[in-house]
Amino acid sequence: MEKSANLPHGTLDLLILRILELRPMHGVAIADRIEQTTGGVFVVGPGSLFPSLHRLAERGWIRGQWGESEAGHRVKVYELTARGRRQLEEEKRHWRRVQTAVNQILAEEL
Amino acid sequence: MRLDALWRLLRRLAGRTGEERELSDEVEAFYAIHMEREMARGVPRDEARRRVRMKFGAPVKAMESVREVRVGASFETFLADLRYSARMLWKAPGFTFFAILTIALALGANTAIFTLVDGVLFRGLGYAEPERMVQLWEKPPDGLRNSIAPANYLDWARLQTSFEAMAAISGGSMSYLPVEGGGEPLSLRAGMVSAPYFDVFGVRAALGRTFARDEDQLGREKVVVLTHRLWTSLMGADARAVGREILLDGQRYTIIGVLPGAGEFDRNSTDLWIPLAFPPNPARNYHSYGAMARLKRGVTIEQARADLSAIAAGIAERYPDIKKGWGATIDRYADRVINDQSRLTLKVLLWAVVAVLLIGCANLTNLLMARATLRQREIGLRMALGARRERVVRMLLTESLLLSVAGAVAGLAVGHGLLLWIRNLLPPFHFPPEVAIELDGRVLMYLAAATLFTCVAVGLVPAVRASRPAADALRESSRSVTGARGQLVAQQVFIGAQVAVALVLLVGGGLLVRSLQKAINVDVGFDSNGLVAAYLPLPFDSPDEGVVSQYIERILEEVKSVPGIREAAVTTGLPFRGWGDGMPMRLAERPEEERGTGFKIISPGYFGALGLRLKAGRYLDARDTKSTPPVVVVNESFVRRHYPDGKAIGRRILVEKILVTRRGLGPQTAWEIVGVVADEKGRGVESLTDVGTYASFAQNPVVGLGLVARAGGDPAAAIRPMAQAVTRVEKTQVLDRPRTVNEWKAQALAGRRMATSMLTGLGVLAMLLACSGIYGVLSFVTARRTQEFGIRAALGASRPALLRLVLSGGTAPVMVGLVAGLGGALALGRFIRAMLFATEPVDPATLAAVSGLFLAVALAASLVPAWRASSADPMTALRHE
Repeated sequence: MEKSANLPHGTLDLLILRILELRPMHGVAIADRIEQTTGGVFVVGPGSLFPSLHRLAERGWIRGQWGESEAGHRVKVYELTARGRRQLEEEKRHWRRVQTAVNQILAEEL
Repeated sequence: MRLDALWRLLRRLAGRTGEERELSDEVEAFYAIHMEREMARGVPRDEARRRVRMKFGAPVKAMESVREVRVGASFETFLADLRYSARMLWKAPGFTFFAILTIALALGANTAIFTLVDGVLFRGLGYAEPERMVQLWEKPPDGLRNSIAPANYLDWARLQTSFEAMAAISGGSMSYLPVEGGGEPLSLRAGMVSAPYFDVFGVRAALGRTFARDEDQLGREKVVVLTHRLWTSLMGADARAVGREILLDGQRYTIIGVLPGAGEFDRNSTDLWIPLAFPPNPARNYHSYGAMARLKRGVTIEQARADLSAIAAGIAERYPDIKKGWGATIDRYADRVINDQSRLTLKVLLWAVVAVLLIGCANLTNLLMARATLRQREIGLRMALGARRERVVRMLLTESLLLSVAGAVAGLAVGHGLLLWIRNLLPPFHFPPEVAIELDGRVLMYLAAATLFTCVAVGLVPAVRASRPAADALRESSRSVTGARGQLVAQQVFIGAQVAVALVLLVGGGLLVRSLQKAINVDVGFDSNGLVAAYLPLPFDSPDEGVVSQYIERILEEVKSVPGIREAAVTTGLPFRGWGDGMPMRLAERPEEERGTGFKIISPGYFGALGLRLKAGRYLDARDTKSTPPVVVVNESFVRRHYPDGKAIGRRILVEKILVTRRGLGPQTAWEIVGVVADEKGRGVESLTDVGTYASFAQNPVVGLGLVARAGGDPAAAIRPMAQAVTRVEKTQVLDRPRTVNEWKAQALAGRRMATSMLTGLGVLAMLLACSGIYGVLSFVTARRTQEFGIRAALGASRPALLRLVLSGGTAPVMVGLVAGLGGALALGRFIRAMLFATEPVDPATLAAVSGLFLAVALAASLVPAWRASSADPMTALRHE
């Protein structure tokens, strides 16, 4: 926990969509994946993971179905919907714009 | 998007537990996987659980945060939107007031009319298996339906095989003495019915019992069933009243039961029910009874009709001299409860309120669009900052929801008030007892649906338009003059449609107003001012003409002695309340040909009391007695109908006398016509055919009378002394339903007055809404073009030129709307033809007046913003932005 950083607000949604773009996954696998790919910078606990998943499902961007994990647990597996895919593209673009803008501001201040 | 969100919400509320279990399973699995990972590293189970919990916190907390995202969050957002909308509306009190007022009026009118329509048209009959209830009629040779002669009814009842229960029906008034042996008698409406009557309706007594099957036989018939209403008002709802005796028309009746309250029988004008016992030797040719029946299970109405027709054919064969050509017919009761006129009126009113709602919605849509334009920067900013489009639409829809709900709450009050007003306008028992007019759950459902519709109709288009992608919005909020062209076209289309629909309604209202004026001012043949009329039910039964005549003479003497009474007479038909009897009649020159005429039996004072104008010959008077040749006076319609040569005086007609007891007809009599009078509107104000004959009471004394009197001063003030006068003659004698004749007239016109007021009110409301729409749009346009006007003024445009410029922009949609509306109005006129009186469906005067009024109001509505624009000071205008 001490080595983890806080995710900027709303970023977790983007990350989840991005990860599910590759293939359907269950909650633990998604959290693992985020931890791995960020080299352990972001650790996602159930208190932020599940609300995020349910919020995305609510908006119709991802869809959850009961399945089985590699270890034989009964888990809910999430996949990206067509709308989710479009949303991801949108968010990516938005993110890049924000990033550029923020970087510019940061650069200016130097 | 919103629909399936709603669906998910509903499913969640319904299946809350299932979803909870799924969530907990999902979260548990997360913890289980992590525990196993620890255990795989050799950590013991308990320690593994502890570590996982340390790392991730308790599973309950995770679940809690999910719940927050779900329903809670969406509800939180809703509350935030609500607060924000309320604040925004509060800041624009003028707009808010107007919007809520519009919705309140439209929804209020909808509530009231739907309550009426639902009560009268949509709600089925409340009886058990109402499809088995039928009405029975005799079928005269040249007509469709006729009352039934008692002997024929008895034959039907004896021979029929189709009905489970069958009852003859008659009615009248009885006098009731609250204090035995004295006090002022009360007039009660009595239904006289065969014993199985209540079985026809499938109704049982709430207390005691209804009639036993043999209680409609002479000697057993002195029993009475009270309505709940009467039992409450008269007996103080005392359960011990059953079994007690009461005095009706001076005779003792035993109370055997009380009917259920708050239903059809309490909405009926009848206060109490007694058995109808036919006298021995019932008449076969005097038709005075109604009848109802309940079909046996499995018997169709066609089978029953065939059954009854066969019996009637047998009767016709046996009595060819009086029943030749007569048959029988049956109607489904449900079809007869509401007449076509009421049905049409209510349908028209329902469409009218729906139209007003649509106009109101179109109006508010326009206003909200204008408002959204003003807020475009705010919205654009929100979207630039990342607000999703759904979010913005939702926020704007919350605002229209807030407006609609506030309007609906106010509308409920408006509707309630309107209903009270309508109830006040209509005389008591205007609708048949089957009609329940209650602002209940069904009405609230309708109101809720209408509110939701209003919210979406009003809010959706502006919300979607306002939330177009940010870039566009930001661009458009620049000072471009032509930017809102699309919106302007939409607004003008709305205006045109509003004007068209409003004009249709207004023309409909106008036609009804003309009809009402015609009906009020129609020549009724006499002077209805200063007249009092009441029914005079005799509290005794006598077959002796002398007894009845002398009694009536004493009554008339006593009434005429009341100070202020100038003239008084008895009559078998009160003014506006029917002809008394419709009698078969033959001209002496053509005795083989049966015709018909209204046949009013009167005492000679009738003509003087009414002021009925004499057109030829003489009135009936004191010279006409039992021992002089029988004479009649006929009216002008009679002469027109039966004597094409116009010569009536001295000719004779053949009409049977009516027995004094009204239990049948007496000998055929040749009556000589001695006078012709103006047409008295016998059947209400609007009757078109009033072929009538007046015979003298002295020459044909009869019961079933009414009393008319001309009073010197205020006729209403004469009612009480008159009632006291008749009680002086006989302590059980009452005046039943005493009213001034103008009240009877108003009552006859009440339904028309209600329909007229409603439709006209709705038409005017529609017009004002449409014109306020014109005002709103023009104000909006001119506000946007202030700068342009300033430039024009600076370049030398004169004020009239500027005025013309604005007005021409406003009048185009109005003119198009008016033309379209006129087309609709022509169609409407044809549709409501049956509601009109002495007015053509295409009435140029109405069309011209209504269009003119509309144009004037529309012009006034356009003039204000136009004036404002034309007085634009070039300097201010150029500095505007």
